[in-house]
Amino acid sequence: MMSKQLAFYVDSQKCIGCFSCAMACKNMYHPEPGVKWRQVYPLSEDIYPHHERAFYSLACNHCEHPTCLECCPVGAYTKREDGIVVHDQDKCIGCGNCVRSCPYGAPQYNPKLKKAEKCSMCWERIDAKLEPACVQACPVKALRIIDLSEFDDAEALHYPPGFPRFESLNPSVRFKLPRHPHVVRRNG
Amino acid sequence: MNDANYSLVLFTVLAQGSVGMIVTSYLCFRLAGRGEMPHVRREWIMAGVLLLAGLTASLFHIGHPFGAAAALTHGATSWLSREVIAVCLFGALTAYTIVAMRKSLPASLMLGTAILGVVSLVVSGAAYAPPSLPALNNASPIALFLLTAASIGLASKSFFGPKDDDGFVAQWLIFVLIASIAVRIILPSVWSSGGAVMMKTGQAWFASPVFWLHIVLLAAPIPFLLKSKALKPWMFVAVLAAELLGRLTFFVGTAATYQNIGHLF
Repeated sequence: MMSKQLAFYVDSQKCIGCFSCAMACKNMYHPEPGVKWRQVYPLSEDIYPHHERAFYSLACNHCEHPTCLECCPVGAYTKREDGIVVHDQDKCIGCGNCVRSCPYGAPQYNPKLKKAEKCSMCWERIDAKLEPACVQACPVKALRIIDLSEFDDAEALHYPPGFPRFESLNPSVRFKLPRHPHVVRRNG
Repeated sequence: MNDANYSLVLFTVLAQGSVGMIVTSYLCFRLAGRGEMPHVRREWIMAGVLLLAGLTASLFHIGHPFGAAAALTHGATSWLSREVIAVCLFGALTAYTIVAMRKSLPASLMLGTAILGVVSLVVSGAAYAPPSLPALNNASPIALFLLTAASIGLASKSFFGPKDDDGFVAQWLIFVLIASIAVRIILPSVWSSGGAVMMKTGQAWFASPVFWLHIVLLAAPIPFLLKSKALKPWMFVAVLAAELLGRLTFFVGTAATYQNIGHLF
């Protein structure tokens, strides 16, 4: 049986692109200007060709086999038993190798501290049985935390269009695709 | 497209140039059967100085350089750690060989250093092939680094080699420069017909004036070498400048997957 692996569930059908999740993350951790632990990506018209827009709200995917953990030359990354990948800034020497290596752009370089940093899935809040700041702040419940060892949703996608496919890393995130809008036509 | 990481440009090119100089020096010493002691030692000292300059430059890309020694600790999974270990071992063995050369030329020690240099270069190539850069997430960094080492190493003979070696070295330099240009044109051409991120990389390389200037500088010595087979110091300068500009394109112009999220791949 698969061991516990917490993951973000991104419901693009509900997401309205309001950036509340990204703002909540900013308010919680006060990263330097330009440093974004969570980003809201609009889908291009090639993927979602409608007047309405659709979005993926993404942060660190806490991969099963994280590149950041493997490539860090000082072992600043660890993976907890619940699957959360944690970065230890005290160990970080700011080489930027994780920033360059992660295909999802999760680790970010903090120019003031001269160290890397990334989404921690608010593990302190998780340990206190609270939701991460981004999940709590979402006004339409488009973000939630799931445990992949128990998650069973045939409609959930692992690699939707517009999201890089890296099976060797196995990113811990699942998606619900945006609904195509109803087109109402007048007869005649 | 990406930030110009000048310290990594300097580190990689100078360290690879150092490996190239040592391998070329050893091969000329063994295959051509020449190489008097003073000039070979001078060559190795110059290679050591290049490596030291490269290692010093590498410290400037680290936010906290005084913690650099900690990068030796995670060799189990990190190619960057392995690179640091391999380059440091190569540097230490180079220094030891230079000291040993005071009495006579230690052929087996020179061979061991040259092999370790090539190993460090391959490891370095793996460290610059992360999954975020699909165009480079393969053996192409190793191929590019080997060509950099070979071109700088051979061109450096214009300063050191006995003139008798010029024809032999010039032939190889012509071959390596042509191969370098071919690989550097073919790689972005292949990328340009690949997936979205690889295509962006190919287009960015071809659209960069720095990329074309590096090709011109690589090509510059070829007609002179074909005509006279004589190595000139300006050729080393041209090749070194070409490699630095080429490496700048390598770091600046290579697109990453995270820059394309939300678009088709």
